Amino acid sequence: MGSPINEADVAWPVNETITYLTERNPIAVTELKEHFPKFSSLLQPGMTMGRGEDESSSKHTGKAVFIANLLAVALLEAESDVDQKLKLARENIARANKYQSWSQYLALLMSGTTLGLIGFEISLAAKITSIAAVMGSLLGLTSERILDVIDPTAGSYRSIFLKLVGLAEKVNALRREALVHINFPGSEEALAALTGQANAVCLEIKELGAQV
Amino acid sequence: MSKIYSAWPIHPIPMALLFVLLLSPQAVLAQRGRPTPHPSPHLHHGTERVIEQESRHMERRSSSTATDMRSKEQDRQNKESNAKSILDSKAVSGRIEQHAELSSARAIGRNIWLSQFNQMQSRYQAEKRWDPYVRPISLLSYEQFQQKQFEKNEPSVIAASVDKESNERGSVIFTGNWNGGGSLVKISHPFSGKSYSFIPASDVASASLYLPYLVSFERSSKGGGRLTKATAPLVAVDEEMFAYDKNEVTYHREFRFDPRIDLRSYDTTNIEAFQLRRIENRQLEFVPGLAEPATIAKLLGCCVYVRPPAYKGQLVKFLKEIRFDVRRLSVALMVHDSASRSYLASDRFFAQHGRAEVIHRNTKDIEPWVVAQLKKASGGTLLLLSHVEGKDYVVREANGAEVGRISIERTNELALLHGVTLFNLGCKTGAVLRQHDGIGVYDTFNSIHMLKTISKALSTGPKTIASFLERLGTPEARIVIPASIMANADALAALHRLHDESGREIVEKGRIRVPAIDPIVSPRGMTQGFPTAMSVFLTSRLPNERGFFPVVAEINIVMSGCAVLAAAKKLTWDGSERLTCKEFKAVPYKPVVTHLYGDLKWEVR
Repeated sequence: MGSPINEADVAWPVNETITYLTERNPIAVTELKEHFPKFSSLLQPGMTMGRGEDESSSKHTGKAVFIANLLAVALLEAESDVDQKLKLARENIARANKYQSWSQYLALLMSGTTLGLIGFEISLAAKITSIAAVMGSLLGLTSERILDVIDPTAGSYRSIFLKLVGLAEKVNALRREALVHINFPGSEEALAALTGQANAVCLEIKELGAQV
Repeated sequence: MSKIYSAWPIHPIPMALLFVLLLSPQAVLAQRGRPTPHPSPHLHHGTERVIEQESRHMERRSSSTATDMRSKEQDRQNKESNAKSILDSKAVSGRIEQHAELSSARAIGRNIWLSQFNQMQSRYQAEKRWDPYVRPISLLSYEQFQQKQFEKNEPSVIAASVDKESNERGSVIFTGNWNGGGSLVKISHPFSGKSYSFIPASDVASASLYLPYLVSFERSSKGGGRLTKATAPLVAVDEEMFAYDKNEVTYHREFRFDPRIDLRSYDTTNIEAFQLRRIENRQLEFVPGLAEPATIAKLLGCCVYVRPPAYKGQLVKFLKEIRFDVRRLSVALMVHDSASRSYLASDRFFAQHGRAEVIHRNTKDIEPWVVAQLKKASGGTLLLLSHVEGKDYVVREANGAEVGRISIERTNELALLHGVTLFNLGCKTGAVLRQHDGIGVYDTFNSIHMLKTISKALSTGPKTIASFLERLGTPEARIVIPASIMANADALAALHRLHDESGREIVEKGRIRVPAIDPIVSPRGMTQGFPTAMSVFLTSRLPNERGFFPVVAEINIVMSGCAVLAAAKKLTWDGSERLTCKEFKAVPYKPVVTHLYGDLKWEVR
């Protein structure tokens, strides 16, 4: 949480967006450099350690267009990235469900075996199988919650999936906004706000991606 | 809800009444009545401080009777107006020395320092020694001056004092070196009313040129103007500051004339700094605005520059002799940038030595973090990488929201306090930092580029500061260093190691006179080996038999004038007129004691 962006002191923090795009799609960065040779120095990972004093709205329509293009490309990349990650997350959830089902089947089998063993009065084996059945059922039922307790930052597969769904929606909306800025340049403040959001989203995708 | 009410030990209605009472207008008024904090630490040396001190002094001495109170109040008002008028009339309200003079003069009833220095100056003149107030200049014609201006790509700086009545004529001061040294004064512009910092003519410590020159000009609506005609046949220009060859090597100084002009009487009221531009038909156009120091000279390798240029020769030799200890260097990264963090984690040098500190994402207060880094680097060197906006280091989150900021000036003051040689590695910090304030960067650069450069520079194990600087400067990020690179707060710290015959430390220094020696011109009577030295005069707090406060020592500190100047801002007078400088730590430097009066001994740690 920080103080809100001062409208009179608007910054264009594109560092995370560029870093993300460079890691994901260096060819797109090269193309951007070719299209906007004037701003090619900005298209490298890392942070520009200051802003020029001449970055006023009237003087930088060229830069605004460049930024809007950069955002559109990066967010398009982010969209595809999030889609891939969603697919992975779905697979993870399916795998988890599969394991859950197997654990339930196992629990059922063990319970049945326990009943049979009790019927034949084999008490020690019955005790062991019943414990296994109980454990299997518990594990199957609470696997998601247990994962949350063990690693709260990682989150369960389902919560990661939900985050990714939210990000996908956000990225899509931001990309559309960036496209609007390309075709109909808006105010500098609006673009700065969009840039900030795109930056934050790119960082979030990057961090979330490591957990998927 | 009823259950909740019944659970309370007190009925809610009286509680609500109590709450309303707490928010009553009296309470609000009481809040409003609190004393407001001091608006700015920079005003400590300003008129406000003088008036504040005066007020406190008067408060202490006020009597209990109503008549006395009235007379005291009137007296206080008179003194306030006197203080203001004195400062205004001298037009040097920002000068540290004069503030010290005024406050001390009030304390004992007369202006001891002015008389002291007048006396010293006349003695110097009588003995035909170098006079700190007067410096040689060389003369060029106006055309020659223009020609030299046009040969340079970078704009120079001029300052103009405009005739208030005509608005068309005024005196213009040309200078090739904006921050020549000496104390800064605040001057208001006649048209805009804005105030600017400027170096007064009387403080010609290292100022390149301040000479009145009558011109006519057309004033533009934007506040600037165009010089149309020079009414004076000659313009006096410090040739050294303008002379460059194509290789950016400063000319060897040769005086065709050596006139000695006393500039003390020149009134610096209503002076504004302008940038000078070339326009058609070889006219000079000036536009308002503070120009960054344009005169920097290449020092080493490809990308290390120094200002002022005249320091170059000596500084190169000096830097090559000074050993550089890599072990006492640390790096602080004050940006939230994932790529930079990743690079630091992956870089072999940083990973092995672990000298880089990165600001944590949860850090909300910037200044304590900076102080912690400076404490760690105390006595050594700190390379601080941060994002710069205007004159501040600013930390922003990924979404652009500001986490915090600290001014570059404040950061350098803190570095001075902790005895740290600070490299201000932010975009264009060289422009923000004044000439003597610190080491900066001339360009806009990328954080990873700088981290790579630092890693590469340190990996080679530079043995001297010169070799480190040569590796640190790149075409993308040119390093600008002031001549005071070797200076530090230690200069001042060492001053209190002045001992008398019985071994008693003479800490009751009366005055430290900073702007005393022109760095460009070796003062007469001084060894040529110390052209960049500066003088510090220490004055006893006890008057001699003639009622003067004698100078007990004159000390020239090589390359450390700026540190003393900066440190002098920190000095405070307490009731016993004792200058406090305990907070400054010591690191090696080279003082050269030229004169010690009486049986004093100088001790160097």
